[in-house]
Amino acid sequence: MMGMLVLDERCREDLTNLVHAHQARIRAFLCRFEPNHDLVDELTQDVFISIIPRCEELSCGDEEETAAYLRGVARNLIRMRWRKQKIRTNALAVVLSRALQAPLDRDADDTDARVNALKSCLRRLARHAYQLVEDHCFKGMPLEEIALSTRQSSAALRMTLLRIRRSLKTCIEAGLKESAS
Amino acid sequence: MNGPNELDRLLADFQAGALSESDELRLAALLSRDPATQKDFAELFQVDALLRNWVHVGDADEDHQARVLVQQIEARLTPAAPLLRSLLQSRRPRRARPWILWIAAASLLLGAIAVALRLRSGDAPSGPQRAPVAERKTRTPNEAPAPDSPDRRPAPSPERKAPEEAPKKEDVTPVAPERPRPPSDLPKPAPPEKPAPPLPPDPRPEVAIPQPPEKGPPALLESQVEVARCAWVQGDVFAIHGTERTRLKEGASLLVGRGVESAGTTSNAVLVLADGTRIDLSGKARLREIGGLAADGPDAGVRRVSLVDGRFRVAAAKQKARQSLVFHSPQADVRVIGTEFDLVVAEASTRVEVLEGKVGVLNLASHKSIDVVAGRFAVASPDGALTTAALGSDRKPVFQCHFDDGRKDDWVGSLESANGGSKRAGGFLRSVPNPSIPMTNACGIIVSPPKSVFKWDSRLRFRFEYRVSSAGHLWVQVHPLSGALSLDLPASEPKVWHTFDRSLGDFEEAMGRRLPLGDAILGFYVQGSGDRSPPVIDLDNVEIYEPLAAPSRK
Repeated sequence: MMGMLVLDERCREDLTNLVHAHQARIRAFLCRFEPNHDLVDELTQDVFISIIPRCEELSCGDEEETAAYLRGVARNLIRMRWRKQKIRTNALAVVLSRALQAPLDRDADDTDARVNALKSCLRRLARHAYQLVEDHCFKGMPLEEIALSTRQSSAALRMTLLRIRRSLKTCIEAGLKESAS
Repeated sequence: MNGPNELDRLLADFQAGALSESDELRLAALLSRDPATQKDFAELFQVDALLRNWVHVGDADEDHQARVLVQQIEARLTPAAPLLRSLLQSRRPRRARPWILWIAAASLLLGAIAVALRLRSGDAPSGPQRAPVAERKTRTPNEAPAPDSPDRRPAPSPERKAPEEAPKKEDVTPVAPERPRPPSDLPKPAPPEKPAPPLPPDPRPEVAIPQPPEKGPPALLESQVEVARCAWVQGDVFAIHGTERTRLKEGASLLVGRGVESAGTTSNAVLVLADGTRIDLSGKARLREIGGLAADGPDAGVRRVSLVDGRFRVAAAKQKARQSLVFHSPQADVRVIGTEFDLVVAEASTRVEVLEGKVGVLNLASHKSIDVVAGRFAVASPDGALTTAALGSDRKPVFQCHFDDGRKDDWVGSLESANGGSKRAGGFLRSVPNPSIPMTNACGIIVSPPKSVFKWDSRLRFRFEYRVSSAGHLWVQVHPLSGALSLDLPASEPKVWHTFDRSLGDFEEAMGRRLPLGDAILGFYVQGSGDRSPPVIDLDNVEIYEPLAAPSRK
């Protein structure tokens, strides 16, 4: 029933199929632009909720086209979030959204390639660097706590993390070029 | 300052979430100057965002994720789902004019009252309460049924919504927005034989599809505000919202008004509030809700955390000017500025132990208040009493070992270290008074001779601070003559100091057997086990103590 948000059995089945087929890519796409995973989770839900009226149509359609459509919805949700941030917050949010506009708008989605490249780059990290990434980024340990246990200052750890991110960035770019060629 | 170095520092601080307001402006200025720097920043941002989400992207079980996502979506489509409701409300077409509906609702209400009055006057056989004759004259015989006729029902008045405008129960979709809807969105007509409700209809008919996101951002409702995140969890810990209970996961966010319950003696959780305040729940503990920062009213600038019972350690972040954090228990309000303290909330009292800084404690029954400084504690009772004393003055240690000072005369009991040996043989590694005891896998207190120091009493408490090198388990054991009792202590947060503080009764409860009072205790041991290799355990401030409130042990 167009115009109504009704999740009948058939619609539920279509939605479930769509979620199973596309959620990982959509989530990964959103994860590139939003560091807070709870927001990513919420945005992922929003993407699929907003397509409920078109579930049947999308589940019968071409998979790549559906993926592109879902990515478009996700893109809009991110833009909307940025817009809200711009209104509420500061100049940095404006610059950040402007800087991320280009990768967000890029038609060809290289998220999978990025994730794979990052996976292999992480494997190549030095042990102590990986440990720091694991503690801070994966486990969410505050830098102050890590600083206490490693007897370093948190400012030093912040710089170390920046260097690690830079090296990962270079490694990802190399990986992307390699996979493109 | 040198450009690139400053940029690096700002970027590093930005990604650590440690930028000051002036630095934010500085970074924005630096970035907006140079498109290449902006591009570099965007790439770094994406790397950082992916790393922070890595457990959900790189190593995630996609199937499980999909199942959970479907469940979450279904949960949001339930009638009471506040998030979807807010989504739908905020995405309602702009033509919606709620004031029109309110006026319509008010008119309907007036109409209903008028009809009710008219009916009432119709019931009355005679007397001054009868409706005016003029009014009754306007009725035709058909319109005015006999007073006791079962189908007596007021004729629809112009102000009143026709029966078909009332929502049919079966038309109500799973989502029910609370705001009235514009007339154009009202549901399809119901069959005319359905009786109209006497009062204005429930404005919760079918729900429109969420509009495309470009139409406008959703208003951020109170229920959507994230006030805390779960930084770490082990055992059975649940997020609570009303009667709903969902298992809390690491990294999960807690929205305003939600609570947390940690069930079981070995469950623990660490919550980090939006301002950086850390709350550790250990053992059985219930936190009713974490409130948002009140914007106005007498509580303006106050964030309230309501506790029900249990043990909490709070490392409060320094509060901004005109903001404060208040921990509310049944007996007391504890107001903090930037400090670290323990809270033990029970039915009989609330106890605050201040480790650093200062807190203000207000007894809610007597409205007495005191400031409690570091090294002291306060107890608020329901009878209005509010007492304070030095920490440790209310407990009688029977054994203490603080490895940071190395003075043997701290020891009330006797400690005997054993030579290293295999775990299987039950041996112990050397314990020496050092800042910590780096043990490869086990350490213990051997009582010698056994009968002279400890006798079994379920109120006796075993307390120590510990840190493990890698994730694993700790087995905390007590060995009385009548057989060992142990507690499994999952240690999944390495390199962070934690406190273990349990009564011997907790060991009995975990093992499901009671020991005779006065049984001699041979030793207390802590042993590590891990998937591959047991974690190295650091121990400090080992203490066995008798709470002074306990009955004397004879």
